[in-house]
Amino acid sequence: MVEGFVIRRAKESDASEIAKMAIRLKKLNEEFDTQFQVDEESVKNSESIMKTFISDKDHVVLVGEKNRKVAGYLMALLRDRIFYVPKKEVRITDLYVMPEFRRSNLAIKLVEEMKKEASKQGISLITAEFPTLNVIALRFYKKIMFRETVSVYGAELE
Amino acid sequence: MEGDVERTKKYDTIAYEQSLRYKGKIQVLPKVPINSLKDFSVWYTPGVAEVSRRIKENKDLSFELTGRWNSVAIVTDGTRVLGLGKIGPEAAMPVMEGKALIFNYLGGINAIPLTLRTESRGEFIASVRSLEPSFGAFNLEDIESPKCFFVLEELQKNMEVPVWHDDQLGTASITLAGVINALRVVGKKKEDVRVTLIGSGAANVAIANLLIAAGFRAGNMMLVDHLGILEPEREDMDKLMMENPLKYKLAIDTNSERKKGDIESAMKGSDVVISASRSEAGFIHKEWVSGMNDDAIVFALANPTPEIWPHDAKDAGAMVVATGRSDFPNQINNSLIFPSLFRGVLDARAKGVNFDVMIAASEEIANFVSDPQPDKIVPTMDEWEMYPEVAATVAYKTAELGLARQRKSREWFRNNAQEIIENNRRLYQSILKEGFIKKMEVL
Repeated sequence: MVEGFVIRRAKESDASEIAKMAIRLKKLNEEFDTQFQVDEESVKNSESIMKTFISDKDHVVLVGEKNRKVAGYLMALLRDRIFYVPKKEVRITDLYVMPEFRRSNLAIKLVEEMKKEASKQGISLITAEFPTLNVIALRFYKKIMFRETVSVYGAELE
Repeated sequence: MEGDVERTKKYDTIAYEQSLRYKGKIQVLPKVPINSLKDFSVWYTPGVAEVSRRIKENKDLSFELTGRWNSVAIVTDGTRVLGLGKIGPEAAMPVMEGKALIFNYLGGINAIPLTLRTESRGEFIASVRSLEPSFGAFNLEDIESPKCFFVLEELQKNMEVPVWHDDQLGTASITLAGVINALRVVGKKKEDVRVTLIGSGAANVAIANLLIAAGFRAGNMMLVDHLGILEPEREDMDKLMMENPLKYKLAIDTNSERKKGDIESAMKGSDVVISASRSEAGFIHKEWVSGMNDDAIVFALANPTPEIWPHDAKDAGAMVVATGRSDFPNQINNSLIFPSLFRGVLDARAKGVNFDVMIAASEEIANFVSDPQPDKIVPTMDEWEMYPEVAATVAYKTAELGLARQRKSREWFRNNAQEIIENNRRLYQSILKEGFIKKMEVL
């Protein structure tokens, strides 16, 4: 059921709600992998950080809204691929739906809208990044037929 | 209360001394005639081979040709024992032996305590599954939350005999029975009442789900834990989604007004409060009870000390108060349900147990109280006639739901249960009378 949801570009006035969801998403990542420990300073500044992303020309932030309540958001970065074709890709960095609105295909709808947005800008490649151990994200993107394209490995230094 | 502390200490001392004396609470005795060593040719080799061959051809015959039909495994990993916490499998044994004693005394069941040294959920599940051929049913006991939810779900899904977790399902069933009669006393309907559950551990999560299955409105219910009222915008929701999916689902399904706040705000305007949280009198304030609707129902189930003393709850306006203690009216105690529940599923040679069976059992217990009163909403443990009645209802319901290997009339199940329980009790009394069990003269 995607009925009842309106998908639109985020406005500056959405920053506060999006920031709350962004922190939830980052804390969820932290649950999966300690390499993603949330910086409490950034929590304090999350609203202004989000305002910056919303107004940034290289980022696209979409929100799903129901009864005027922001229920989920997607943030993507428009990236250059200097040595490859296609020359540009859209990389989803954040995707979060509030618990109450899950199992309503809102996340899929947000990705679909992002694809449309990319097409409008002549971009034909969409990717998503998330912590490897975030099995929820892994399951979701596999379900919507994304495949593994890049691996990033990490190690803490002494 | 100092009296309670002293009384508890007295029992502690006696229990230790008597355990040293009796060295265990149960034992295995033959149940077939042995007049000479020749009889072993029947009960053991060579005759026994034929029995084994027949069971090999039809595994369900193990319920008819061996004691499997009346055997229950009581299984724990010792991770959440009573109020003692993670004390380990060896230390959990006295508690499991005590449970086995109640199984036998009230239900006529051969219950075997098994305390497992397992670490992971997977290891525990695999261990229990491997024991399935020996038992007619399994009772999981004193397993930490949320592990208990996962192992119960997984085992129920994958085993062909009933699997029960008494801390969840037993508590939920007897609580439902009590609530049914409490509502009869105050003249309110389950569809209309607002229910607040304080604490959201294994017991209250199961109670909430059983109440919903029994027709209480999920939206009219609220669960409260140390972080406040459960609701979908709480910051711990994603963690719950991963670690405690049942609680996560309740956060979404309950509390339709999406109220936020503490215990006091949850209780305000409630008709029923079920608390399974902190063993501390005064944890629930009298004023909070006063803020409930008229003819309030308060179940303060923490043991040994309820969250509010019954007289305080009544002073504050509660009409019906229940606790987990036997020295107050309305004791909500699992022992009122699990012996007969197991008697019933064993007699039906059941393949499983579910909420429908539990609701039927709860209703039977509630109906057993012919004229519910504020101080009499559930039977007491010495109302023996209740156990065969509930067992019969459970067995019959199991058969009705297609979960039984053995289908009989309700009357047959009742008579059968009564005979088993009575014979077992007579046997025990005769052993006691003959002096094979020495008297305990300290109480």
